[in-house]
Amino acid sequence: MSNKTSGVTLACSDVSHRFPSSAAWVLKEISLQIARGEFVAFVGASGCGKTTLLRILAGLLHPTRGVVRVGDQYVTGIPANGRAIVFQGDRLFPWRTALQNTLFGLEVRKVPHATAVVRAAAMLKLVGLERALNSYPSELSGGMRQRVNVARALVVDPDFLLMDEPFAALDAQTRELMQQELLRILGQTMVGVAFVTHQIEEALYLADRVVVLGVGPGRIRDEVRVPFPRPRLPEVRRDLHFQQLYTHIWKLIESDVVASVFPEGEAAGAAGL
Amino acid sequence: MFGLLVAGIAWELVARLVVRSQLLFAPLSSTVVALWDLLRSGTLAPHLVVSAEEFAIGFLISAVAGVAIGAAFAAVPWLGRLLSGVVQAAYATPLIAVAPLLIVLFGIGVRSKIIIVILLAIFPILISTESAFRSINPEYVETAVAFGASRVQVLRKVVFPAAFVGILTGLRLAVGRGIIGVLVGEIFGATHGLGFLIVQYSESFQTAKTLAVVLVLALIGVLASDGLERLEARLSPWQESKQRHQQADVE
Repeated sequence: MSNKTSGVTLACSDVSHRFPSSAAWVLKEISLQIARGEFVAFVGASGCGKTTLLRILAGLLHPTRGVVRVGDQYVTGIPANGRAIVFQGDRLFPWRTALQNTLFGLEVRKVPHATAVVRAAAMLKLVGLERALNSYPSELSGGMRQRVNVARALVVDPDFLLMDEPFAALDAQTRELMQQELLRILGQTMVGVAFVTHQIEEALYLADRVVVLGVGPGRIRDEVRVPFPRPRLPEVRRDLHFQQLYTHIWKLIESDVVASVFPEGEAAGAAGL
Repeated sequence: MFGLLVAGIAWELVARLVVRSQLLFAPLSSTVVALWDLLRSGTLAPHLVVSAEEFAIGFLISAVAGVAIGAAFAAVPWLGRLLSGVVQAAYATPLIAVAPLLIVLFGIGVRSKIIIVILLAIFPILISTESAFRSINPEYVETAVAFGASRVQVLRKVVFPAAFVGILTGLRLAVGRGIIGVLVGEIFGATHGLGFLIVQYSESFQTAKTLAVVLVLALIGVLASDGLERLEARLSPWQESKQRHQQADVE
């Protein structure tokens, strides 16, 4: 993919989606753009359709209405040229070593083996795993597996990286470390990122822009620009402005979160607590 | 090793002090001597070769056909639904019971033994293969598709490796059943083979020689299961490393 231009955007316009089995809209009239090199996070309560939106952006799912484009090309499905996905949970192939897992996307694209190995090994070095090339996933810790997962996606040199709560399964310390690592790794690429998370703090720490999704149906409630310069230090979380943005986003999704935790009429009582 | 030693001593003592009659039971020492005689006189080898041949041909056919049919059942759901009842019933039935019938039908030669081996060995292979293909985590397939893998690539790079361990398990189960098939077939009617030898010696009350053949069978069983375990570890090293990792976690 040498014909990259930094002007390429991943865009969806007027995307609405409902699953065939249900009458309710999961997503309603979503329009947004992600530029290469830009990091956009999606937050919202459970059921806001953020994962569905990511799958639509990936081409794994056809929206009921609306279109997705990369540059001037319509996304009509797989193969997801120019886009790579980091799934929730690591989804590494257990029968492949870290190196072989990283090679997967290159093998599928029929990159010559010698070239592929060089690229995969370099990518694993970038994510800090140069000493675990020949380890199987079962021999790696959760954080290491997520590094392999990220390397497997980045090694195909995508224009856009679509990440679905990649750190949700990690413990708090590992997650924080992985967030810093992700910023360091992405700093060396020009990849555009769509990052789904349920953690407001994670979204604010990582993203240039946070898209806040509401529930029932999933609509964009707000888009928040995150003004903090890069490279960002973990301490930015204690910045007053960071706290204000956090509160702003929380207020936008609070009622959705309460409704998802206390379904039915209990919501009113719980909100009063 | 210690357990084997104890068992050997117990065998010797029971034969010498409890049963005593050499017609009914023979001590380990006489058995080993008898085995040595059988080996040295060249009596054992041709029978061993016949049994091995019956097993190998029957097992090979079972493996190829069992994997193919199991994969077909998994790939074509209505076919699997249609026939899975029959397969389950056949697997649960002690098909040994029809062995005498098969010998009448196919003669006392090698052919009837191969058919008995197939009947015993094919079902565990078929069933494990079908369930291995069915239980593949759809997330692996989706991941491959998301990376742009074609249907053929998904099969080659995801479906087959993911099903591999389950298929190996079926093959291992089938080995034991196949060995039983050979023996039983030969006992019911044969002119050669280890089962035939056992019948010959036990009917003429040559108990030490009978037990010598049983000893050979025990040895084959141990070697076969050990060899299969090694093969499995070699062919699916990620499984072994998982065990090692879990051990490391415990420590």
